[in-house]
Amino acid sequence: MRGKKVLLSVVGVVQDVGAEEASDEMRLVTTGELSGEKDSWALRYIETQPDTAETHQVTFTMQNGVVTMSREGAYRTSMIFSQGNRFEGNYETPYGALEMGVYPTHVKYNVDENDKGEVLLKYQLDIQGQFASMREMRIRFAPRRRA
Amino acid sequence: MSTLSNWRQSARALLPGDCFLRRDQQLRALFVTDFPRRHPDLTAETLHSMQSAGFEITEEKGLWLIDLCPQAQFAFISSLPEPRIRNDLPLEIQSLCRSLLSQGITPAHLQPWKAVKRALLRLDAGEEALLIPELRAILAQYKRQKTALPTAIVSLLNEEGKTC
Repeated sequence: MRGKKVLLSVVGVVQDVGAEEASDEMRLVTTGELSGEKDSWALRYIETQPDTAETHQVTFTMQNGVVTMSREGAYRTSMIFSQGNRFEGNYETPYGALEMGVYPTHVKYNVDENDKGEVLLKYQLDIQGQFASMREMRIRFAPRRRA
Repeated sequence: MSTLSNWRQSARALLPGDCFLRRDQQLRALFVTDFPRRHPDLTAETLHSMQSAGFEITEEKGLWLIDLCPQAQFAFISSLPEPRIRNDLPLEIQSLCRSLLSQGITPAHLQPWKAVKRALLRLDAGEEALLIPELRAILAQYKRQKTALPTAIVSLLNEEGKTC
């Protein structure tokens, strides 16, 4: 499996029910690594917390129409996005674990022959059994060109 | 005999004359019958006796859609065993039950009958495989809309698990 340096942009949108506009938006542009082939891919990048400057490795794996996201560190998380299938897990925080439920309504990814691609996830997030928010995450990536 | 079969028997006994009475495959109500088309002269009297027996009747295109009245819905849900998660059921059903109970047990009078009815109909038809993904979507919607969760379905799934 080859690993290629990519430049990627991550846009995360949080939307409250009934709101016409997103209530919160996160944008990140960073470098990462894409590995894999055909319908089995892994995309890794380092995420930096803006307030604490802590870094965490984030890995997306994409296979058979299912996207898995895992984040290491103090806010360790692992989520499986399979359209129409609910995932339950724990959201680890330095203060304890929260029960988290994810119900994906839209799971799409593609990688073209030039290793350029996109991951699009739309999902409902529940925390401790209660609805938290509707979320959308879009990751676009392309091979990094050296100056 | 299943709960639905008991209700079907009770409704059948109140419908004089030939007519069909079957589970509503469109999940609008519990049963559907063509009684009013076949016996228009008996509809008023039969309607009254059905309502007295706890059924709620809606007419649609000459057919009767038969459901339980709110009091009968409450009595049925109240009669169900307390919902709990059985760890001998398949994992996906355990997960669904856990999600259903994630906000505690909903009082009988607050349970959304539409969802409970869907579960009753699907389970009676042996369509559990259809019910499970439907419930996932319904639960997500209910949580989003802050609608009370149909925890009675956990009791129904537990009963279904006993007979499998």
